Amino acid sequence: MTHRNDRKPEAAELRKSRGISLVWLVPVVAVFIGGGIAWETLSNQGPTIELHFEDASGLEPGKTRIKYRDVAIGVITEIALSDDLTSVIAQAELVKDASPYLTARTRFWKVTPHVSLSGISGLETLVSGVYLNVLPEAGGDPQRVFEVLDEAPTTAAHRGAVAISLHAKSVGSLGPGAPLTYNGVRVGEVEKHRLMHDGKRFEVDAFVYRRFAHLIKPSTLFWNASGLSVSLGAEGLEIQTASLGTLLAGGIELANPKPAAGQEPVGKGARFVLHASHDEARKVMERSEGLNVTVEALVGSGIAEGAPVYYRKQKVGHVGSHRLSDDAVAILYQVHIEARYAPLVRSDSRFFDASGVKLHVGLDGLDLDTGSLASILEGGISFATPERPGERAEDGARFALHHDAEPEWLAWTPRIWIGDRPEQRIDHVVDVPTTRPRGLAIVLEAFSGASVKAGDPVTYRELEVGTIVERELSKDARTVRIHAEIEPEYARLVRSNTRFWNTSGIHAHLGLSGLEIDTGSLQSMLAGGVAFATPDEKGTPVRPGTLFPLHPKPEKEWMHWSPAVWMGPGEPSRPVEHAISDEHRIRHVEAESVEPELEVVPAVAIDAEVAPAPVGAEVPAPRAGFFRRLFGFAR
Amino acid sequence: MSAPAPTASSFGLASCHGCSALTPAVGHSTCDRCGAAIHLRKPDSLNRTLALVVTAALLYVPANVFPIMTVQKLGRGDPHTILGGVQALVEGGMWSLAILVFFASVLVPMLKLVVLAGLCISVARRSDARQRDRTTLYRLTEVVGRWSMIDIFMISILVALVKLGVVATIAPGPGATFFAAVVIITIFAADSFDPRLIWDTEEDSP
Repeated sequence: MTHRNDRKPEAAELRKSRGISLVWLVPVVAVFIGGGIAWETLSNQGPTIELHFEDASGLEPGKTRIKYRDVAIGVITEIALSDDLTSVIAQAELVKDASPYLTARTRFWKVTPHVSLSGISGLETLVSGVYLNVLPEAGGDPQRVFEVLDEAPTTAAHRGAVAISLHAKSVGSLGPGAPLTYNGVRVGEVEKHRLMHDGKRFEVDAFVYRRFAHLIKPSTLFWNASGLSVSLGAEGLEIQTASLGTLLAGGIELANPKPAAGQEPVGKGARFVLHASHDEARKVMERSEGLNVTVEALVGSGIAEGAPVYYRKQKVGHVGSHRLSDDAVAILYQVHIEARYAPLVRSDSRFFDASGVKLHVGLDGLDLDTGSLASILEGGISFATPERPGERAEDGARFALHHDAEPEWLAWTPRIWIGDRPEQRIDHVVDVPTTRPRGLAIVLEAFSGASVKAGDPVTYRELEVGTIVERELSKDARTVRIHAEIEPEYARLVRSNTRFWNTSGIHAHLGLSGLEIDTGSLQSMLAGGVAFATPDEKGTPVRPGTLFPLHPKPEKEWMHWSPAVWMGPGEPSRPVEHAISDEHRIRHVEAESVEPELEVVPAVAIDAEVAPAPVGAEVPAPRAGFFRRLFGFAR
Repeated sequence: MSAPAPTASSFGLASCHGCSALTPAVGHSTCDRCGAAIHLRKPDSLNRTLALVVTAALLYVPANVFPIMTVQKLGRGDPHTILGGVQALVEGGMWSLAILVFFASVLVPMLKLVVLAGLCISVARRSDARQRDRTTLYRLTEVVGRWSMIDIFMISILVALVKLGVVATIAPGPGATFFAAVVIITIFAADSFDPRLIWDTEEDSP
């Protein structure tokens, strides 16, 4: 320590700092940093706007954000009531870049959870709280005060959507958000609807998404597809609904009729009629395409609206509506022919009633004169055009509705081009009754024609060889004349001494030997008919128009006649009995094989007596024998 | 006032900052024992302290204006400033915690700045009023000041711990940086102040 004391402590060097110490750079740097941040903050501060709300539900100052495309661009800073307490005024701060978009066209709306039949939206706000959405639109007058909408403006989510307005008598269940569908695809939405000034109609504001905007043409048809449309017709139960959503929430369907194809899409604000139903719209659509003619009937025949119109049993249109004529004399059917088939209708076309059941109920088959089962139930109209078609029918032309078609109408097959260009077609051999080769026409005279009628068969040995064409009273009205036609290949069976008898019904004869029942086939028993037999010593072939008496029942001996008649042009060596029918031959063989077993039965004796049945010869019809045996047993 | 006690400087001696050995204070001398620089008083103490206090005061503004952290719970989150956080605690009924945060984060840094500024000014004016009290105040400031960092530590721990994705997330805000800066700078400011200057009025200025 002493050595230190040796050193005389020098006076401390006193240095007075002159000027500013370097340490002051620290606050300067702090000022720069703070100032820089402050400047940045201030310069980033966007405009403040005033928002007017109906109520402030869900709004929180400092928390409620303003978003555009889900990007927060601002926040509500302050909420206060307006002076008159009618609304809520909120101040909001937006980002700096928002300034150019704060125009009179910009719209703000509150996003809240929204559940409707057409969807759920704003679900995220359940967690994040209400926020405001904005649809900025530059180019309007600058504005700083905005009314906040309760719901999103329709065009918000769908930029470029085309707004249209539809006029309707009633809106049904159409509500905001109800879809516009085109062939089942959602192409737009209903925005809102309101009663028009006249107090009778509604105006429905809707919009179509941009990518479907081209579908909307001046002639586009709109109809209310709300709910369910059920129609029960002859074609079955038809249920129409666009979608389940439409069923519940309502909806509008649209379609373009053919003339719309060449039209330009409409712009914004176009007005349309909203039809009440698909049917109504369809009628309008039909008016614009196809051919519409009026068919006049003096007798109503249950032709329903929507009933089909046939051309050669092909559906080519339908009956639109019907009403009494103004003088109440005729019934006017509005007939719509599809555009493609319109050329078929000519000025000289004949329309006739195709409704009702026009079939001959015979056991020999159903002769359907109708187009389809639907036409039986619904009724329908057919038309035919002559072989040499006249002028094309004008729209609105009038035709008479004939009650029945003349046979020749049915045979008409005019060649009318209905396609765009001629197509390759197979030449059809048309099966028309009138062109059939004519057989041998004979006339049968009877005292009563009760059970023989037109269309009944003429049989030879139970084989149908001809038909009854018609029957009429003789000129002197004493007898009934029945015109029959024997098919050409069997014409030679009819000889001058041939006997005809009536096989209709059952001929029962009660005698000492028991009940004898004589009948032809089951068919002839029920349907009636005429049979004939030619003696073994056959007479000469007959000329057409020869008159024969019609016996009410056959003589027993007629049954045994079995003349050999050469019918074909081929070699005479062919066995005669085989030429008639293979089927018949087989039956014959069956009868032979069955007979011996039944020989012990007494009834067979009658049978045998009646028909000795020489081997190889014809026997009476097995079925007739069967009946006899049957009743013989019964005895 | 009793006769002033002899001081080291009156003997041309200075106490070493590092090992407290008395060393002759001549020019830019160093401690014979530990080699540390020897000063009679902390060099440029007033200037440095004042500059740091000013810096801290400047940073104190953004520290309170900017949010100190953002707490996001289930997607909903709001940034909190320091005072906002205190307010939230008060609204939540956590008075004790609110008072603690308010003292540690608001009052202490502010008082520290005021105290240090006051000390600097009083020293510069060579005031001889309440020198003992002022020294006590300085010591208190030095001891309590560092506790302000508790807020920063809390945020650091919370940010690291609460990373639950959508459920809850805590993110630091720019205010936290400024606040940390304020606290650290005030610690430096307190450190650079030489309390002996308070007593220098009794003798000739060194």
